[in-house]
Amino acid sequence: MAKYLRCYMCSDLHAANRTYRKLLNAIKLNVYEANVVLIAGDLTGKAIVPIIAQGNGRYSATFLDQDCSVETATERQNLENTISDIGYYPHVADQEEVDALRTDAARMSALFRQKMIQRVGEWVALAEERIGQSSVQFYMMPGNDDDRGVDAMMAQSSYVLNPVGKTIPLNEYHEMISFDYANPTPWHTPREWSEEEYYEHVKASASTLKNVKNAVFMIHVPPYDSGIDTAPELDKTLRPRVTMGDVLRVPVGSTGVRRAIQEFQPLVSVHGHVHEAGGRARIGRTTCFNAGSEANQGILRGFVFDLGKDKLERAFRVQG
Amino acid sequence: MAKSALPSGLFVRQASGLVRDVSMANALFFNVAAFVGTAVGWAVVFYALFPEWQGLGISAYTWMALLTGIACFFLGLIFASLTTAMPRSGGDYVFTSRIISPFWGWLESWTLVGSALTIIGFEIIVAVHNLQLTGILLGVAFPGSTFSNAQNWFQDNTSKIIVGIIILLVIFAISILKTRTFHMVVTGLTIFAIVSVAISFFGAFSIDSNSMNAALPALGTSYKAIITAATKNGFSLGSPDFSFPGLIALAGLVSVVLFQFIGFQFSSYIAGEVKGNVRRSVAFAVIGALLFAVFMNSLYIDVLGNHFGFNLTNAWGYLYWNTSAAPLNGQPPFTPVMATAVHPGAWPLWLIVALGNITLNVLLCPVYAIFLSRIVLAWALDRQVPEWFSVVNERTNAPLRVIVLAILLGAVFYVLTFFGVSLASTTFFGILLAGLTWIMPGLNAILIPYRRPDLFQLTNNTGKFLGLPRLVWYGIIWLVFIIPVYAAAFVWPVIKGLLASGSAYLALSNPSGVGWALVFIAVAIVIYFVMRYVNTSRGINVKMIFQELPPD
Repeated sequence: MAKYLRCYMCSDLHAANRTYRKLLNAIKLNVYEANVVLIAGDLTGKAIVPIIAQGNGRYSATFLDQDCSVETATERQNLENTISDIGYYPHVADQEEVDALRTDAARMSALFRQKMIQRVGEWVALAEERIGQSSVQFYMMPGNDDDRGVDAMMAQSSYVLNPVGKTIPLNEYHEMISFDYANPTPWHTPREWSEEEYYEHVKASASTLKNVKNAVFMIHVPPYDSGIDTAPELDKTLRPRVTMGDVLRVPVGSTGVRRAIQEFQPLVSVHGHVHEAGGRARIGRTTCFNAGSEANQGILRGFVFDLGKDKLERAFRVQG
Repeated sequence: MAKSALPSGLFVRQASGLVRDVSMANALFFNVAAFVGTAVGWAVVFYALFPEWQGLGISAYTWMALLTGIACFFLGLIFASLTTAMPRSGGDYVFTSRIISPFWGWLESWTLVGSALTIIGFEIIVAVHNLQLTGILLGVAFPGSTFSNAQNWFQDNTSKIIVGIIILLVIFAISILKTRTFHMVVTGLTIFAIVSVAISFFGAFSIDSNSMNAALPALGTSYKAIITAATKNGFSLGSPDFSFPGLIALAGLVSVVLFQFIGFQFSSYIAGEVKGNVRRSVAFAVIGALLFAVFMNSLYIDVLGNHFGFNLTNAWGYLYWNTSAAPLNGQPPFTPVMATAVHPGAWPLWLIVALGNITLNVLLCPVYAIFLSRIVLAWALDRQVPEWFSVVNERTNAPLRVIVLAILLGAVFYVLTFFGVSLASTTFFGILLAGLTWIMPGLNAILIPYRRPDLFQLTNNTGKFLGLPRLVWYGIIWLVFIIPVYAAAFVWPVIKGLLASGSAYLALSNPSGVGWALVFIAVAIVIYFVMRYVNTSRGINVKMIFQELPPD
């Protein structure tokens, strides 16, 4: 075995094509010299931008508060790429379909689902194309925001691995267990457990590990009140509470996850979920990482960390 | 879902998202609070730093403030555009390190930090002085009271140190407040200071040169005594002069104006925390603060100057800067004191003005500490300094260690005044160091389309004018303004000093501060290469730190 196992982790890419392509290139160019790549959840995007056919080959769209009008196929493709780069889904439609989508929640939901699964499928294919022949272990975990349909899409790949529900041997010394769920959120997202459920799930998986003290826990939601789970406090309308111009902040992590980490004390735990709380924290002997996310701004945030035989050798916060 | 609940053209699926902290209004008050602030009561004192004249009834200082305001408008647009492309905390450091080179980004921001620390020290000195002036004001309002002796306060180091420590404790207490409380305090105190400006501005209309001259005996002097003493020491009002020495003097005036304007763009250093449309918020805050700065240094100063007496304020100011013969035991023409002499019954209003002046002085320090902490945070993220410096305190949401260090180092500059370092030297040293900060934004604006076209496309300022991107024109306009000013106001005095004194001019004991500036820059270069070596030895590809990963 090499002196250490180098891991790279990032999270919450939220369908941002440009950031994801950066990640693949970082691996392809070996800039982080990572043996293991971990994506700690939330792969899918949050919005669809309709590109509305105006007739005569012209299209219009409203994107980032700007009205866009395109006239050629190349311009339309560029617009679609730009929309995809920041993590939205372009959807070419006529005005009639857009109006129908606006009033038909079920149809909208189905379209969203289709777009999310399609994008994850494209990502899986791109990973196979760019780095599929490398020796890098590539683990792509869904998160609480992701439709369950993306799991099936990932399952078709022989290279990209969804680690959820498995005990993964990273090398002869380190194993990993993974959890894609979050604790309850105000948005009632597709994958949420109660705090007690969360603890029980982690406990059950931890029992499958040969040596939990040397393990890596990849858990989408960070531990409660760890400093890497601080987010704006929301009011009843789900808007940030602001007092005298200052956004109030509160810990939003999982108490169940914290309890599990305190009890089992893995070597490392990697998290995402709270975009604005990137950083690292210690809970007992466990080092917890949250890369944070600015994927929608085209910034790839991550951590590189080296796992020695029985300790964390070093860790760097990186961005590209 | 109801149709009306949807924004037009965009389907939004609700999920957790990134929310930033600082509102447009917060950013504006942050910038205003970053002003040096002495202009509230000291405005007319700055007339006399360089030979003053009036053209079309407007003072040379005001002309230069208007010119500087126009140039700074383009600097503001540059900051707003670069912030749009790089909406991260760290300001200039982030821009220059990405557009030009990490070395120049480091050197620019290091010298800016040095300059800012001297300004913190400067503000403590001024705050102590303004406390004394406030005491004098009360002495004028209440003859025979304890305050009548205020002009003799703080003459010894012990009392200066005690008052300085008290002010430092106040600064420290504000700086370590919870974020929410910090913003509340900054907002409230800045509004109070703006109210004091309004009182001073409108109050000046109740005074004219005759009533002012008649009231001077209450300050232990007279118009004739001031003019005679000043003339004897070489004072005279000039006339518009565009010869080489005249232009050098005007450049000097601009440098004083720039010193007053510093801070109007500081919200771009906290851009990583500005919420909503970052470009719009930063542009609003920068331009809004700039308008306030232009008002304070043009209309405000001339209304005060003309109502209190242009000759009188210039002559008194001249005595203050150049001799020890200024009235009230060597005090400046502090307008709240002068106005109280004219209208003793209105002392509460002028006390508010004096307190507003102190408020802006003191408030600058915590605001600078916050702004400095963001630069150091950006350094640490790029591994230019150890991460120890940027550990974010969960309670304040800021790198508390850096904030404490900034205040302590500012205090060092204050203490240095007890060992012969003068106020003017501190200021000169600070602005001399800030040279790169003035120049690099222009270079960044000119070079970004060619060196970082990817970032340029994100500026929302890619339109062209006369074949060049508008942003490039902004950079050219700014450099055409700032380079001659900097050369005349700072490089020329250094050249003159070297010609006159040789290498002795660079000695650390020389009060010009140039020697210290060189040492400060040398330290920066050493740190840069040491950290480069440390990073390389840790296996970090230092080139990759400053590059964007290619997506394709």
